[in-house]
Amino acid sequence: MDKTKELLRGDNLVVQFRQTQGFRRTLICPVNEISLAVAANEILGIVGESGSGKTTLGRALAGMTSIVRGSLWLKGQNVSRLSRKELRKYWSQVQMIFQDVYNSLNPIYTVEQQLSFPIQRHATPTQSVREELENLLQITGLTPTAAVRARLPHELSGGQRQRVAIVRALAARPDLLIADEPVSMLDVSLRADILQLLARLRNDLGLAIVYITHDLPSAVYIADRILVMYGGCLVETIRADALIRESRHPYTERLLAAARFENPGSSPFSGGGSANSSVLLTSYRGCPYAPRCPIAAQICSTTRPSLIRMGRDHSAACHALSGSHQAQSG
Amino acid sequence: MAEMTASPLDAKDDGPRRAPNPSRFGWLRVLKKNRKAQAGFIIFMGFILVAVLAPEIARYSPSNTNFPPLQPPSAQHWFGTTGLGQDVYSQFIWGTRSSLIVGFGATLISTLLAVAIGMYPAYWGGWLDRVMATFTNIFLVIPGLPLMIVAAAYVHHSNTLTMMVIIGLTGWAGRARVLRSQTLSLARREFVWAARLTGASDWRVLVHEILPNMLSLFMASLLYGILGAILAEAGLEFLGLGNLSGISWGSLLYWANNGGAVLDGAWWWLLPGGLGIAVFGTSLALMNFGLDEVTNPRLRQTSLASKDRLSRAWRALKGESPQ
Amino acid sequence: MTENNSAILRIGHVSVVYETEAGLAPAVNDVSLELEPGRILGLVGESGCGKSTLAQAIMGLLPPNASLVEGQITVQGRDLYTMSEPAMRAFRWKNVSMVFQSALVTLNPVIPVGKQFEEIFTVHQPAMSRAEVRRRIEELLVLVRIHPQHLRNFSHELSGGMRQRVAIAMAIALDPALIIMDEPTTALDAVVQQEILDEIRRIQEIKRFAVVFISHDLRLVSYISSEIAVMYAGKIVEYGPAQRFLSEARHHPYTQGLLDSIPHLEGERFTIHSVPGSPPDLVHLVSGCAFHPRCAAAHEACLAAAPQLKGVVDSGQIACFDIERKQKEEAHG
Ligand SMILES: Nc1ncnc2c1ncn2[C@@H]1O[C@H](COP(=O)(O)OP(=O)(O)OP(=O)(O)O)[C@@H](O)[C@H]1O
Ligand SMILES: Nc1ncnc2c1ncn2[C@@H]1O[C@H](COP(=O)(O)OP(=O)(O)OP(=O)(O)O)[C@@H](O)[C@H]1O
Ligand code: SF4
Ligand SMILES: [Mg+2]
Ligand SMILES: [Mg+2]
Repeated sequence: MDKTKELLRGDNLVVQFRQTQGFRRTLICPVNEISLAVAANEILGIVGESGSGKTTLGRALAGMTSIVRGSLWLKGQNVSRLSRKELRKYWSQVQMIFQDVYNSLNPIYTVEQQLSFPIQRHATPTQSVREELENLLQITGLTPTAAVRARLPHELSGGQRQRVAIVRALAARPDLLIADEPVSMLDVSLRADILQLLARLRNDLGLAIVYITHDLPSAVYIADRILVMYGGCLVETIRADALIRESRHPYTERLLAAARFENPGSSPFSGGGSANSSVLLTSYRGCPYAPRCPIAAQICSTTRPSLIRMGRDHSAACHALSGSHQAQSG
Repeated sequence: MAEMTASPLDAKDDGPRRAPNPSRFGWLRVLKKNRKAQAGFIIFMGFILVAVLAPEIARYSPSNTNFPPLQPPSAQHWFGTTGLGQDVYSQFIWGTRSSLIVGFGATLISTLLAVAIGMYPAYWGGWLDRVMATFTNIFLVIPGLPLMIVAAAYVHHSNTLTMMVIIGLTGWAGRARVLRSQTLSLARREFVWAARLTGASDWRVLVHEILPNMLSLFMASLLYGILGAILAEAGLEFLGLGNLSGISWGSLLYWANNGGAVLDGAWWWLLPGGLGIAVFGTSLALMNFGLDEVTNPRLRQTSLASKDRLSRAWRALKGESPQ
Repeated sequence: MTENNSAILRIGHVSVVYETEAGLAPAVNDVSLELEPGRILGLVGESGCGKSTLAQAIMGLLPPNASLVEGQITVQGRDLYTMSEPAMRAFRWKNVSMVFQSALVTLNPVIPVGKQFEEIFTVHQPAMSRAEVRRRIEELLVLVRIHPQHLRNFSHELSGGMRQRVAIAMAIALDPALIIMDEPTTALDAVVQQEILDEIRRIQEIKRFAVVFISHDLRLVSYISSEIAVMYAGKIVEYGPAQRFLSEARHHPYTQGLLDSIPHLEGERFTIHSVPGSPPDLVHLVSGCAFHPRCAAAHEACLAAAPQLKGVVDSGQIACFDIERKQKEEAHG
């Protein structure tokens, strides 16, 4: 990636949480040595299983969760550990759309009340707050705007809330938008509109977007590059337009198969409990995908594979792709 | 408080917890809508009025002992007289005033403490919150009444102010815990983060996002606080640990009891103090019930009137529109 | 939808209106549906078309500014709206349960998840021993692929998808006869989603409970359901067996739009199309068919009156004048 255009970079980011297990205290690591970079004007997709640490990574990038190890850089400045005051400055450039829309709107304020503060704070002097609000509601399909403006959050449907949350983040005019499942409750048609809107904003305003989702097709659709996470680790990173053809990691393959709804109900998808949580433990040493991987070998459950470069903008972490385990034909 | 103790099942039965009309002044609407709350409020205001107007409506000085003792109620002495020849009515009026002053003053102190120790650190989180939470919990396990008795006995000659302080200092912990857990659960909600991210200062977040969301709880806690303080004051006075030169509902009871009102059958001497506490307490409880009914959807009766009205409106609408 | 005595859920000409500042908003408008035990009814439609409202109406949990102004809903032959409050509360969760769109409703933020789970059993099945409850909970968690260690977590310590899965597990905990799932898998990746849907279907076939599965994702719904109802602006515009929606059958123009907008693989990329136009305004509903402003096939008839659900070939029902006309033309040769 072009270094000069680099907006945000994270080096070996680690986030940990304490977890009680019986009487033992353990540490889980939903973000495990993840390095990434987002260029200005770029859309980076982060996809992965439920519970794989996408939200935690997003919150860490937004400065909401402290980073245990590693460093985070915004426009060349180290932003790994910020004071409360510095954070406020950071947030004037970085915004987040939250996954849980039922939690992310203040229940006692109308849509207009929720939105005028960010608009007011960040509006250009030429626009009136009302016009800007009207405009934002229009482009997100929150029509009729007059009625929507006066609604309290509990009077909105799930998808309508989601769009209000999107408007709020956009109103703050960020350079980087971290969007955590911003369209999960929208029907495909509206989803396409909103995704196109985000893509348009990227082009018009030079907005960079980290698009977090479990929905591979929409990530492939909108993103330039895609990061695939599993069990807190980065397992593959690849250009979106190459993903379908060139992705190599077994988990990405499986995700792709599920996204195509290939052989619904057939064997690859049934059985197998969630090993998910135990692979997040800091004490776990193997490949996070090993417990469920159809081609896992001995080495997979004992040694963590490191990212191997597969090509331009493409790396994957899998023993089967390096020489370390005889890749089985499977 | 209903929100704190609600079991998950209650939550499910509430259905969407979005159902309670969430509005900043939801608790105010209680007065407009709820009969119980209205009744409670009227009684409450009556007492306030009595307290404020005490000098005007008391017919004699409460300490005047020049009347014939132990007179039953009469035209001169509406509530009769005490064993020492004081006018019970005047004592009751003045007692209302000082009981309420102590009650409100103590509540003010405990509220300030509860906010400072429970709410504020909960918002900031981190070690401060942990320390304060531990402190609160330690305080909670110390039984309140004995602590108060010890404190009051230690002070010896309490006056109104020391009474307030003693009651206030012993009464904050439970309220701090309630406010803390509510603040914690709100501060974790993502709209609080969203406000911060869009540029709101901590102050704005606390005052504009969090506090308005817990006003109902805050009001409930306030009502309980006043009730607790009034009861504590009466308790201390009754045990003779209060301000014995002063006149309050508690001291009225104390003197009646010690003066042998029961033995002499002087019910009029005994009754007003107890009734004052009971009725005032009831008014607080009524307001609290009302608050609960409006904010807790489980207790809300569905309004049939509005259902009929909506059905009619709907039929009218359908009649007009080309269906 | 023919009269049927074995139906577990019967919705007859139900309308639900919201009272808003702008006026009455009929979020559910003359909807009739029936569901038999052991079947899964998929309910799809645009954001804001009234899916959740219908679900809440079935549960008897409408918000205070909404009212069921018309029609009747019975679950197992019983009308929730005539029950006393305690009877209703006992009926709910045990006979009919719901996975709410918002996990906030199901999960209390200040109580650990496990404790809330246990409470379901202590309240509704007090006879069960602690060990039994424990075993049952772990069994349920395996179904939704969650490790029992998370029982100690508070809901905000779970990921979005984990919260949804816990909510699903809670809803099936008491083996109710009817479960309403309102967008239960919006936060789940395709792999886990399929696994869970398969699990739901597997136990559903054993326990024979009925499911109303609400989603905005037609593809997902056609994967899991036996029947599908498509909703637009509070009305059912198409109803039929799920196979209909996987085949090249004739569809309501809105359904067709939804089908076309399913992301599909095109060479190297997924492409997504959208249904043009803006979502309907429920308060000021247009006259005639609510979809006509966005419909390419609309003609005068569509502006004048609202089309009714009519049977079409292969047991589907569609409310569309254009389809009616085409069918007539075909019938005449
Ligand atoms: N505050 C927290 N305390 C403890 N554990 C946490 C906390 N937040 C997240 N976790 C754990 O971290 C793991 C990853 O969670 P995260 O929310 O990042 O997942 P996700 O990839 O966003 O999943 P989903 O797609 O389901 O939203 C989960 O196992 C979760 O239980
Ligand atoms: N309490 C309320 N007061 C007024 N209008 C409401 C209320 N709740 C919902 N609405 C409106 O009713 C319509 C239907 O809402 P509902 O929640 O049923 O939609 P939905 O189909 O579930 O949508 P989504 O897929 O986005 O969740 C929406 O337009 C919404 O704005
Ligand atoms: S490293 Fe092993 S377990 Fe992990 S994905 Fe590759 S083959 Fe599978
Ligand atoms: Mg998440
Ligand atoms: Mg909904």
